[in-house]
Amino acid sequence: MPASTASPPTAASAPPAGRRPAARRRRAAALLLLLPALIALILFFVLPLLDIIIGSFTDPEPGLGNYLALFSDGYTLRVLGRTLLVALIVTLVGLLLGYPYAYMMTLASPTTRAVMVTVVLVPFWTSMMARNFAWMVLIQDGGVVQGILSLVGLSGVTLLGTATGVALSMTQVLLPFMVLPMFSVMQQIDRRLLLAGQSLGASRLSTFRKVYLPLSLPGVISGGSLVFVLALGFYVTPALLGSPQSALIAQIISVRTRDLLDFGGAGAMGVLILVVTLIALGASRRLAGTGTAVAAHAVAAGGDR
Amino acid sequence: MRHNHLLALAATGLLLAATAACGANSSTEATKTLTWASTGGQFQEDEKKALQAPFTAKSGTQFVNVSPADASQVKAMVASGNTAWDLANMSWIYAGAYCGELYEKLDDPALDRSKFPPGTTHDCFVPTYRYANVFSYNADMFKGEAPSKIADFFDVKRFPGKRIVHDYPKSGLLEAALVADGVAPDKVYPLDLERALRKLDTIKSSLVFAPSYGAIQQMMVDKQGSMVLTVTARSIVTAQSGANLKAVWDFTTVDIGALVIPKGSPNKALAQQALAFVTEPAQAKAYAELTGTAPARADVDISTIGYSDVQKAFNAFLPDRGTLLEQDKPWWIENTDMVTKRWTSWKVS
Repeated sequence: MPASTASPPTAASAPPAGRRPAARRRRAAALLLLLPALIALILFFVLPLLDIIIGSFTDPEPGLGNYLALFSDGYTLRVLGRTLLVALIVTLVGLLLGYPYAYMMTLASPTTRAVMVTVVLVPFWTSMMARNFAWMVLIQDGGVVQGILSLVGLSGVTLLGTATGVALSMTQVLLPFMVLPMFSVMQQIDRRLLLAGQSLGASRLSTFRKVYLPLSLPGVISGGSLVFVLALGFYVTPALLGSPQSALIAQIISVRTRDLLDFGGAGAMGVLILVVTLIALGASRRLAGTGTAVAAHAVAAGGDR
Repeated sequence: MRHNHLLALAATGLLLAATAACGANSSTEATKTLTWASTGGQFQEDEKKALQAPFTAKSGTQFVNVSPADASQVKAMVASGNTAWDLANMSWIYAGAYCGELYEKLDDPALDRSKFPPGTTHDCFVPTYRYANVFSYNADMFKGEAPSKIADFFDVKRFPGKRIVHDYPKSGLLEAALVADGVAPDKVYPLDLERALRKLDTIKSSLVFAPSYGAIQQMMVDKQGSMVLTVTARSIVTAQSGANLKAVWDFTTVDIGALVIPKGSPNKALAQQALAFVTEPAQAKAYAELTGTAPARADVDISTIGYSDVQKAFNAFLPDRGTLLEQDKPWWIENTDMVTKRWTSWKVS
């Protein structure tokens, strides 16, 4: 909020002095409305999280033992690296599929658009177990997917029990998280800007590259980071469609909690993945920093964010 | 101190629902209620019918059924000082490893340990039923020579195909690997883990670690695997759902199912009475007929149980079933953490 006061559009329409107390009242009301959510957040998220963090340093004995074990047990880091790689692939593939899809949604008629939204959301409405077992049947040896692949000359591709199979299913279920944020940003892009670009002599490609792409970047980033973060925590899909050789971090956290009853060690793994997530998020924001700022401007001009 | 305080705070919210159920438990003597945690699904339905209903008829005790019965949840309940479960059907390993700490010692004289087979009891558990880790193969996939020895499970040249096993070290796979490698069945314990893993390395690319019993069933019915090593009840269900399974009776590990009492159970005495009651012949037989498992107590004559044909086909406790080995309770209790860690690092790499 403070940052936006510096931007030209807001400065141009600066409020008259008389509105100030009203704004303060509004803020108090907003705080009051936030209170239930805040209490729930503290009670059910912040406190347990603190408990996990404290436990990771104190259970079974105080010190860094749980963390040192992560780096020396020979497999946690490997599994973490694999998890990051799978999450990255799922994000990139999701982007490649989702971007054109979201773009088409902005051009489609309202009816077609409703159908397109439904298609993207269907996997989201199906039971998680039913969906994973359906994927299992589809990608197993001699299954439908293998049949289609052998038609195009790729025979004998094993998908069930591999990271590829897991990534395939994860991409499908995470697609709504990719498409919907991108669509909501793209929808607000003023298409006359594209005409303006072309009228000034730019080709269609460079109009897209110089105007549309930067303007759609906030959607790409919020969709991409959402999918990346969600993909890091997937448990059921890799457990059912993958194999121990392609295990992801959530599975070995589960072994620590449920089989070894090592809550401290599991907490340390959780904290590690949390830190890695925060670093990845911070990096993605920074990477796209300038583009986002420019685009956010244009979008903010169209209404509240 | 601060840690405990936080935990208590955090747990308060989560346990609100449980407390409501608990209040009904401890308030009045007139309405006796036991909370029974188990696997869920058909298995728990069978428990309701064969074990709980007769006890309700006898003593008026009502049962609250919850699932799943997770050892980590017991640890969390005990740590928060609010144990909601009275009886839990879960691996005896945890009751053995955390006896007196997370689980109650069983001291009711009705639980006479001499009634049970040797090596199946502990301060904190007695068996409620017996089952086996059955090696069977898909008969549709071996038209010529069929597997007949445990060593054939490890011979992917003569008997190709994937081997479906449960993703759990105590599934009988390690013991089978040692016997196939030449260890005499009575010398399997203390278990040489590294030797077992070396033997498993020879077929690792053919091993499929199933994450759930449902997945085992699906893979065998869809002929994704040619062989499977899984528990009695699941072998039966898999055969019933369309897989042409044949059991191989050469070397088979057997184990027990146990109902354990989490530490701080609000109705420990009543829970022990229920426990003693369900091991009695009438209940044990009814339960065996529903699940295909075998009764725990030695004084129940297994030949009097009305098993169906498919139940008989996977029952390791009938005559002519080759060598049986009771999985060594003290060894597993002592070494389970070590095995789980080594097993995890072996299979994820």
